[in-house]
Amino acid sequence: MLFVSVGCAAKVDRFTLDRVVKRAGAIDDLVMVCELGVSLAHGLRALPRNDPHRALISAETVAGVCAQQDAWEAGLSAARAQANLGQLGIVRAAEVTDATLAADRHHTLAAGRFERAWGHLVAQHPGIDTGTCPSIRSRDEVAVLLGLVSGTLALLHDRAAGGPLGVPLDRPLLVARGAACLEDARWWSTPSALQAGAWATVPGSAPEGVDPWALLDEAAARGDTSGTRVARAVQVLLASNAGRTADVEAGIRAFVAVPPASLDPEWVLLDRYAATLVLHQSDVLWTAHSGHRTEQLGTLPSDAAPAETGPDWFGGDDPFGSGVEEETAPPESAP
Amino acid sequence: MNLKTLFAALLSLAAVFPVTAQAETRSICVFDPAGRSGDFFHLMSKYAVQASSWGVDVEIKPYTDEETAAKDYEAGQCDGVVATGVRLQRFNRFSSTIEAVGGLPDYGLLQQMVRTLATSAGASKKLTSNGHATVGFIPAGAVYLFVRDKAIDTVPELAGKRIATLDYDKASTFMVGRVGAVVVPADLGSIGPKFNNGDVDACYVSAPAYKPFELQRGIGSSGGVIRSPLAQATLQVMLRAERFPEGFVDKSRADLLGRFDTALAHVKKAEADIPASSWIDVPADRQAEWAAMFQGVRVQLRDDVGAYDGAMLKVMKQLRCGKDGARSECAESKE
Repeated sequence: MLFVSVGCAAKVDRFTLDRVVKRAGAIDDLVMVCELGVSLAHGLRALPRNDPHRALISAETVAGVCAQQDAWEAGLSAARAQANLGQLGIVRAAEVTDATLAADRHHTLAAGRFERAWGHLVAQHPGIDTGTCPSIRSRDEVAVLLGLVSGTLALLHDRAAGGPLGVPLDRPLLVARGAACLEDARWWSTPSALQAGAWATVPGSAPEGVDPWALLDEAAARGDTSGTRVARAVQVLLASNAGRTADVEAGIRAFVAVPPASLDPEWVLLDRYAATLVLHQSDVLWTAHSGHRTEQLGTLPSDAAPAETGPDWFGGDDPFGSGVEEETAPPESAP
Repeated sequence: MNLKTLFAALLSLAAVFPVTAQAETRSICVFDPAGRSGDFFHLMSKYAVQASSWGVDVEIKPYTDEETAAKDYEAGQCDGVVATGVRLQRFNRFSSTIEAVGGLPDYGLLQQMVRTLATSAGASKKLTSNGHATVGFIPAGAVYLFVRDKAIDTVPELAGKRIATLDYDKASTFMVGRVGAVVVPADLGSIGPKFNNGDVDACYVSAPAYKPFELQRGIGSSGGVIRSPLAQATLQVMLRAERFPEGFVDKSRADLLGRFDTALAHVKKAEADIPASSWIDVPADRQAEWAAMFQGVRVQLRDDVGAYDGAMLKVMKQLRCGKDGARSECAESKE
């Protein structure tokens, strides 16, 4: 911290990316890292004279993850109230409304953090959103990737809250252009997933003859074998947004089918984040169906086969009678 | 009181005060180009919460493809649907006529019309056709003509120009033909690319499409947006009335009317995203020329094509003439 406090923006950037982000990438604890982002963001902004954009992309992104988790929890509370509360009427509506309003507030907070991360990306790499790829050093690419993911999440969370921040609707296409500036294979096909996702989101934006959903699935499949499953999580998230439940379910199954041993320990944090995204979409399906979250990721409500009842040997009659006329004699009281 | 009497008493109490009441579950297919994160879906999710206080669990399903939403509704896979008036014309011509060309030149008149429809007993009957009840009109924005050449701002100048036209929209196809322009068939996915690539000279959409379709690319430095609205696009909420309890339709109408301003605010925000320099203001004398063309189209679409409902056109004219009695149409009785 002392190093940070006396450093210029470039030194703060380097320290954050080369030491903090690199080491955090191997931590299997998303909450710890997101809280680190919440704690550090303001300090990073305040200490040097100029904003250390690369450091702030990372800090705001992971801080956004904290608010995102809260938004999801509140959203699930609303869905659970909708599914579970037996007493109908205004009381239940108030319960659902309250949880929805709480979700809106957290979505707004998350959108703000992700949007600031996007802003730092564009400030650090002018032109990245226009299709003119700026020069990006290899060791800065992780910050660019985080900024691009944040740009997408800022829009999704802002819209989920009803658009209080007014994140522009051309964002997906700007992200798609920026994604083309990254080496796809190095980042587990996440750039091509973001690009295909943008084309799938904005009607008519895909190159002629390209099926963006198929392209997104291909990127996710390549990502599955790369050691970090962020591309698959992008697919599941965007499919859910578009109401493509079959794609969501297939994505969840593909996600869990990846052997844990094949995951890259250096970037376990990002895979953990991908897992959280996928788990949340599974929770959404389970809560709407059964009123509770996922018991085991990979099982889905649509898996449930109708119970085996066997043949009806009683021809539809209750073998114990209707239970109205007859009354079983009370047992003899014990002496 | 013996055990038997006590048990019977408890049973009767349970019948009077049920521990839980089971809500009816109904589904609505909601078209929103932005899917689950869109403004229309967000608005409908608030409506669904409110509906739960009326004893009905409303599940809303996002659709990014409008025709699929309409077909799923038609096939009975949803008990309600949200789609544009023109798409739902096949279910109810009266309610779709609110989108008639030049029928409601400003948002004030649209709001008055929507309020009248939600509260008038006479309209209530007309809003239900073959069991399909239109219960809400959500403003999706005034439809403007986007031109690649600012010089095209009069009706005669449209002659011979290529205009991207939604192929399922009879009224637009008819109007484009009537002004002597060339119909270039398009859908929501191809309008943007056709305009931006210069395949067409003009297209017509509402402002919320400006950012995601990046129409500034097609406008460039020489084009613009003609400020005189061609029509008012609405997303209409339609229910199979028999699938909902008595009173539900009326409650829905009141609730959705209350959400009109929120939706309109989103539209106005999108209009503010279009730079002031891109707007083309039509002089008053030229506006009369457009109005006369619109009137001719409406009358023909009512009489010859059967696409518009006469009763709706008549009330729209009353509104226009109520606001501006000097309009030349006010002295006529064509509508």
